[in-house]
Amino acid sequence: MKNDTRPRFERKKENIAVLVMILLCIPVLFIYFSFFKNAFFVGGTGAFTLDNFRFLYEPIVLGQRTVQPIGQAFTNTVIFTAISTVCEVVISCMAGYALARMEFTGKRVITFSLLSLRLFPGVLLLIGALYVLMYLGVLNTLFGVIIVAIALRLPGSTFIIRNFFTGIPRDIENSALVDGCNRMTAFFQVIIHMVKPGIASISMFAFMSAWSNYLLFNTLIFNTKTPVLATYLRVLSRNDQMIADYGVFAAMALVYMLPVLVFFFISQKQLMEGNISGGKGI
Amino acid sequence: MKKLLSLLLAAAMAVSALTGCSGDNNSSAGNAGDEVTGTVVLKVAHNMDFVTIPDAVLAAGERLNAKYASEGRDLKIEFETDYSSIDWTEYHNNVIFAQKNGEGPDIFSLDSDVAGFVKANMLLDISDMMTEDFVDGIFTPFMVDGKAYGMPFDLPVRVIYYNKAALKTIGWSDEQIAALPQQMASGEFTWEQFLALCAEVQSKGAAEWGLAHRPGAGNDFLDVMMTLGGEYISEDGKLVFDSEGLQRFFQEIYDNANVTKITPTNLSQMGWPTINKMVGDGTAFAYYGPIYSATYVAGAVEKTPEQFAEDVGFAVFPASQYNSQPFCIAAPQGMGINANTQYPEICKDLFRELYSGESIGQLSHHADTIFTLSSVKAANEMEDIKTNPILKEVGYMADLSISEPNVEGFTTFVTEMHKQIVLLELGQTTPEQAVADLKTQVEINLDADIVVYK
Amino acid sequence: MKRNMRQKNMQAYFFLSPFLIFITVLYILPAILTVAMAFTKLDSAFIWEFNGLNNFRKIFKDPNTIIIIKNTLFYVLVTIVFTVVLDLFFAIMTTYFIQDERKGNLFKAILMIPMITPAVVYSVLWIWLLEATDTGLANQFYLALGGTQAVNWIAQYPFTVVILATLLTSIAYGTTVFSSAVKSIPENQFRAARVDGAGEWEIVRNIILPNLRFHITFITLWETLGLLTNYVTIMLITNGGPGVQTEVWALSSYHKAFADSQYGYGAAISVLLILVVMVLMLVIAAVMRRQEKSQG
Repeated sequence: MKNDTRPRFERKKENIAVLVMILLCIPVLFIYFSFFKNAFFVGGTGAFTLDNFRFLYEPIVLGQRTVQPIGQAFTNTVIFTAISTVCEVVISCMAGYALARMEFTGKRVITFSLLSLRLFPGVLLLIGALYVLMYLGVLNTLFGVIIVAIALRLPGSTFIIRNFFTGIPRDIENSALVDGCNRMTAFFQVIIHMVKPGIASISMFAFMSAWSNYLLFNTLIFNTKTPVLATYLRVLSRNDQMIADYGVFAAMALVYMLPVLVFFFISQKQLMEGNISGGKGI
Repeated sequence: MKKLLSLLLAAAMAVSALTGCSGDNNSSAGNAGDEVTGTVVLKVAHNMDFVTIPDAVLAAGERLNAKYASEGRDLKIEFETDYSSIDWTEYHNNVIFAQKNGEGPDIFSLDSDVAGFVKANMLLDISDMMTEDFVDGIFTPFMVDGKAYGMPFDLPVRVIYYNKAALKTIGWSDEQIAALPQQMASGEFTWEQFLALCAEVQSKGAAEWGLAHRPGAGNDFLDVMMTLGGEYISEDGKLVFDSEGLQRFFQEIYDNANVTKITPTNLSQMGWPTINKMVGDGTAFAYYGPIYSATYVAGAVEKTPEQFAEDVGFAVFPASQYNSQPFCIAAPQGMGINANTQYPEICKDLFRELYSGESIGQLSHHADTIFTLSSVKAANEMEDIKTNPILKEVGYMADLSISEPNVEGFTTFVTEMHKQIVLLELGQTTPEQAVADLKTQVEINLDADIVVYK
Repeated sequence: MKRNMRQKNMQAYFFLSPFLIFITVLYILPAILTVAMAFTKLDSAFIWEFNGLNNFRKIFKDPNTIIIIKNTLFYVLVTIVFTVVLDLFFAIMTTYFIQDERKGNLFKAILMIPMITPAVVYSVLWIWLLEATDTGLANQFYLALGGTQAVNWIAQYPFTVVILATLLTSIAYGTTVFSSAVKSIPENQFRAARVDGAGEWEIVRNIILPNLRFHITFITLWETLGLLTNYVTIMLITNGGPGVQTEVWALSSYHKAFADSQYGYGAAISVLLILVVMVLMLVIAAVMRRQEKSQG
């Protein structure tokens, strides 16, 4: 701050506060740091090694088990995250726009259901979702998990984006319509640009939740042919049987978290804006 | 409003019409196996690490292909494999879900809940395969209502492991050590004496812990209960809730961890690798579990089977003041054929090729790999098994082995029992309380007509 | 006019149709199925066989039910109280006391790390940290500080561990919400108070807390909803154990359905929780309506 006009005592308080925060943050950082350090250093000797990262390109042997390289799990996770994020954003934008800007029969009912579904935790419906997927014949496939993931997050993101649409002044839309655009072109050319921050925010939450999702894969996929990073790591760290040693696991965890961390530093600001949807779990 | 509803309905119907037709419709076609021609793809599912079981099937497939080719038959078997290593319950569900989804495996490994698969109409009756080729009684665990639904691939027994070096440290002579298994098998050396031995080894510092067991739920615990005169399967093949036997068993589990302290209280939180290492390097003097765990134990301390047999001995569950008959339980692993498969005859041919064709060697190779005897008599006569350093010593156990039938509700019983074991060892419940709690859980979770209470 | 309306409807439903299809097929249909399943004996064989209220009778007969309810209440209440208090503390620290936005944001970013750590990694991190051996990080500290013997933390203090782990993941969200609320308090309110000679504690109590009243209510309810239904952290760290010591309601539904294959029973447990959740949702809706009114 170049021209800090605050009295000296306030700056002193700020410094104390900074110190307290540093003291509180150190344990968290220390734990993370120590954990990920396992990936690079041999347990006993402390020598630097990249041996723990061999799972990136070749099968590795852990105890009695041969673990396939991470490639396929990584690809699946990317596919899952990309498709579910894009679909979620597109679908919620369309629905959010209609609910915010259009007049139609049944609007009140749908708006009301949206408000209730947004609060409703979809996790509780997994047993039912499983049955629906079974009936549709897409249980046990990446596609099945993708559609459930989208559906469970739609109410939340539609709600957010609807609020952004509501916030756009009518005038802008009207002038676009007057200029000879129909609804479609108005929607795609003008309106969508006005809600860019909203789109950024929902896509960020969609990305985070899709990338870390474990529960859906654990319950809806039953073969080993569709691994994603979450299940790939989980298989090696079951409660009764930590199969990978911490060195290998930390290395894998680092690969898994890297995109999240990168994304986190890019989009930190939107995260800060504190969106009412919650980026955790499903 | 009406419009909205009809729109929603139409949408839902459209979706189901689009996707609904891909359900399970693979059951009827091509039942007359002999007429199948061309390339046939069979799905094989397996769980856990011993892939020598499904690999034996794959190898049998190769042989059959060669045979078909030499006979000039237009038939080629190909395989699509799905090997997992997850909880057995999870695997069990996965197989059923896959079937519901229209993509169930044609041949798959079985867990202990064969009855569950039969109830879900997932298993083909293969009673016609119960031939002289197999060791007597080995089909028992795969029988439901008098029909066989799985083929046993091996004959692993559950035994007691003990560390020979530790005995030497406390002053036993080589002869004494060598004689111990026979004494335990004959009833001379009892379970009570064995527990005292565990305590002695520990107190003399020859091992850090006297007695260890697996970290998760498993049937091994039932062997100890049976040693203590407890019963869990009735004559007519029902699950038994034997309060007295359980009480004795729980008391012992509690005492081992909290009174004599020969078992670590947090054993269940340790995980397999730690426990395997404890047993392998002698940190724990004794252990009970399937003999095939020896592959893991030896692996955990990087020993060859020969070295391992030097250090660790195996014995059957001895007599006790409640049970005069030393025993060991045989728990064969096996595979079944999907009742809905398009190619039942080909699947059966594969099995036949394994137990009576040229592929028997595959079974003996599997048995040799996991340190057990084979389910097929001819395989037990093969070089692999005859020369296995561990199997050499445990061959006599086959005579003392018992096969247990498959009973409904068994998995639930074992899982619930294990929860109590964890609490008992941590000292967070009493044996009396544990029996009462277990009883309530069994009553709630299992239908009254499948359990006998005594 | 009528034609105009129809055209409008066509247009609107064109925009809404993907949303409606997804919600109907994968939200509402599963909900109906879950309720239906609660009255069946559905198990791993997956045969629909209605058995009336048997599942619910089983729930009430099970002595574990009362333990699980106690666990759930304890877990939610303790975590909520700590979450909200810590949220407030961190929000005030990083926004009110630390006026430099860059510094404040840096700290908030650090607080967010546990939240963005995928659950599968986060749980292993805790298991690793609390390893029962001498070499476990927590035990190293414990021994250095005068402990005599390595402690099996997770088995000994399962609830504390679970609550701590959940707490760390949940503070980030509330902190960001509160801190943006603190930021929106007009600066002159603070100035006026300082002129009147108010101390920092009084400013927090008399200005910040009253301004955040609505946000606190909202976060409390919202997090309660999340804690009641989100069981992944517990599942991955203790899986409800030892015994049923850390089993909570939502997790027990998952266990009955997916670990014991008693889908009907699991669905029944879910349905009861759904009822509780619905009551909570009504409360949240009412709170928000009141807020909208007071603002408008």
